[in-house]
Amino acid sequence: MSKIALEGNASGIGTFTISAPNGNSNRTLSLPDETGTVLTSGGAIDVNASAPADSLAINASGNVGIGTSSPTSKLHVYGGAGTNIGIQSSAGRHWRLGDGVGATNGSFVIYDYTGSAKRLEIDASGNLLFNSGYGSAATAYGCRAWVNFNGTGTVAIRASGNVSSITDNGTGNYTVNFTTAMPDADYSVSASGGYPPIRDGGVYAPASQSLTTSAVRVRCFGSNAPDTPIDLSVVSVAVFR
Amino acid sequence: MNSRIIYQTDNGGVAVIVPAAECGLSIEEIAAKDVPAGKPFKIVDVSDIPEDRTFRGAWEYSA
Repeated sequence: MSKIALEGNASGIGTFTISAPNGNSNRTLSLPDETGTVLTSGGAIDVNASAPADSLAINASGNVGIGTSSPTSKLHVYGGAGTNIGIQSSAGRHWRLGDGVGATNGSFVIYDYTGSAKRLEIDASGNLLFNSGYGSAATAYGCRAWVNFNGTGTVAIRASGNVSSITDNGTGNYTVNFTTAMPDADYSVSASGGYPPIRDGGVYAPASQSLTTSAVRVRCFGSNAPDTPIDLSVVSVAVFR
Repeated sequence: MNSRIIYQTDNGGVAVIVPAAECGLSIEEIAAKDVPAGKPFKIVDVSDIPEDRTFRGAWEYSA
């Protein structure tokens, strides 16, 4: 393989001109200047002569750095406050993903740049904030456990989340056991039930049997006899924290 | 799951644990976690549990 050596003064920028065979004008590739910067212009890759050092770097592992010469992932974008990646569609909107974009530094944000509004945020404490009809991006509180079961005949769970089992303690009396325990017992229970289409019903978590981190007990009753426990064919329980 | 876990309640009745298929735990793991500590229990087939709950309060546990 042959090699071509170009020699010249270390000061200034050398120019190596390639004639574009079918183009309207020549394109230029500027040789590295004394800082090692390679400049191109007018082509598919356009590097402005004023671009700062480390604007784009590819290290020995193939990691690409933007704003850093030491990228630690395949694409590593580094910058000051509000550093973000823009995604813009000419037919849609301009989105920005980044740190502290329209929010406190340290928060990961999806920002609607076209609409000038924060749409989603994960703050430094791990809280997830989103709008979803609330009116603005606000902390969303999760349903930490839920279950839908049939309390009649052969008692069976239809579907559930973070529930390991239910304990059938007796007529209209069940314990919902959590797969992963709650951090404390200060959670909220939402429950409902019925015997459709025959009867409406109710489900409640009795205060006399306090909530625990591992389970919550619920009682079922019919609308025609609220003091008498009964089995309901549809029992739904959700736990929020 | 077609298994159930049963144990005797403090008032002499029977508690039946219905496992959640989606929880990712085995029936033994559920028993270890959800049966009150120290309570003897049995793992039975769902067909061993009466479907008629008319006298649910009268069910008794036999070791």
